[in-house]
Amino acid sequence: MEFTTDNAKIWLDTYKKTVFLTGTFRLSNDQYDNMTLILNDSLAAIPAGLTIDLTGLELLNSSGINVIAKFVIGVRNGKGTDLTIHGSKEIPWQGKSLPNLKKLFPALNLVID
Amino acid sequence: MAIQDIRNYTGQITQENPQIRIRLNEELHPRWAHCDMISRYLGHLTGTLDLEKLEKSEVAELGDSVNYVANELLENAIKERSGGSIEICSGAKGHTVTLVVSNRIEAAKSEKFKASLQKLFDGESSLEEKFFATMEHNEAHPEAKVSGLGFLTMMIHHGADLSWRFESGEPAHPGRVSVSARLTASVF
Repeated sequence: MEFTTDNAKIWLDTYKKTVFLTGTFRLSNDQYDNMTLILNDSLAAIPAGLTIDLTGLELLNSSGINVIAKFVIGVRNGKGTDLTIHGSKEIPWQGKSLPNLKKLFPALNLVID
Repeated sequence: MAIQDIRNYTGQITQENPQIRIRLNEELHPRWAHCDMISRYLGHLTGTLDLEKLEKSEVAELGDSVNYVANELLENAIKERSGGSIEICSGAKGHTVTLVVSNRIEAAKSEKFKASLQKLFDGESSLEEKFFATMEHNEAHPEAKVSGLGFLTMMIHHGADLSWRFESGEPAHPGRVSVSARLTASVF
């Protein structure tokens, strides 16, 4: 389960129960369907204890932020799923944007290190 | 901020003496891939602008915001343009970098753009409340073609002070829209 562009990649590592996003996702709104699909399929495969690892995601545009936010809201609305989002202090946009996901879903386990 | 500011803010747009000016001419066929390339370039150049002394980490953070905001403004220009060139200017004063992106726009799109700005700044809700309401709305309406988060993320996450200038055109010659974003290191 993976999707790659010239600059970015998203894939599920089932052994680590983790979806990894790396590189730069700056797609147009309608080009994010594959990312949405992989996130939703990953949640279906690992309904509890899924981690989204963003530590290799250098850049994300607002359409991509929208995809991640919609996914988090979807998990929240499904109730009870233990979701972790792992970000990096070394990537400035993550410190500015990711804390808002916690406001959308207070039970989210947000780790930025 | 109210809708009238969109017109009154024109005095802050500084395209006259930019330190960097990049023009994507029609012959280049401006497209999505150019947004990322140019915004990265502008982000990297932040430290070379005529900024007052900043710590290395502050320059890096300001450059990251320049990169993000320039990309968002260029993506908008690619989506909204009605032919012609796209121009992006950048300059610095004190601890502030100003970006200005301009493109041709048809009258109908221009009115739609103004209406979206009116909606963005109208009402009692704060920008942050609108930001969260927009994400909730988008989750409930997955068919939506636009996220509506671009200007909100620029302002909330990157402290961008935004302003807009609309120049009217004629049916055969679309008008022009210029969007200015001021990014100040001290707001972080």
